[in-house]
Amino acid sequence: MTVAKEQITDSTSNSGLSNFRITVERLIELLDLEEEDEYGILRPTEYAFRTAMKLVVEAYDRMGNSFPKCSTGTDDQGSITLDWTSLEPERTVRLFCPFSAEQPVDIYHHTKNENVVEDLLSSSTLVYWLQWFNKI
Amino acid sequence: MIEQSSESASEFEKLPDNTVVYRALRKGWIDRDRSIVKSDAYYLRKRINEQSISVNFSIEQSLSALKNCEGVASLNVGGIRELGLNVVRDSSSHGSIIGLPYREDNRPRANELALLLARQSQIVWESLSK
Repeated sequence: MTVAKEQITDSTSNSGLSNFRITVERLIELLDLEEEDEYGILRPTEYAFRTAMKLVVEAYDRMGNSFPKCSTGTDDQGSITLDWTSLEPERTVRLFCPFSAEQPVDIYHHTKNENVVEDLLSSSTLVYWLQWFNKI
Repeated sequence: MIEQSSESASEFEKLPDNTVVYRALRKGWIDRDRSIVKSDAYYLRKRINEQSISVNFSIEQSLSALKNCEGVASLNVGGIRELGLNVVRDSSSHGSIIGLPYREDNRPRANELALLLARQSQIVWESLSK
């Protein structure tokens, strides 16, 4: 239905459920990508996808309506990145879910005065930084 | 003593700061909510020992650089140099942004530089098929 579709894709929506659905849909869309292009792997690995989904679901469980939506992408090895971006004020949270368990999951947070990467051991850290991201 | 005497070396030696370079954008490198370039576009690929980020000197050259190019972004060479990086011309159609670390070696710096390059990028061409 058109109305429902508009609700899901409204970029200004503050609804946590809507933002969660958009985020999950964007993660699932990654599975439909071609396996690779001339730059490298496009479609995420199963490990990266499972890791990203688990963290997003756990974060939404704890944040509910304050869960912010993000953009998703893959690197050339099938890792997944999730980006929460604000241009004004300038603020970025970037979750990196590696293609294999040999690399750590990490979270990068950036402002004009701060530029930090930390390994992510649980979804609590993601929730903490998404709550920080929301304080605009 | 090593001398660089070839014509090509002098021809391609130094790009003025006001030079505009173009980066071909792969699928997923554009934030569709904000129509901005994502930092994914500016990481070196360590698995292939990539030493620089490829850029071109026209939109058309960038369009031919990737088979399924999703967009093209422009950057100013002076702005790139302000980040402590450099851009060199390798040929008449290809340039290289040099000075970036691998994400695997220096995560904070690689993330920061990729983000700052993305913020400097202006989308100048975008594919209609999203």
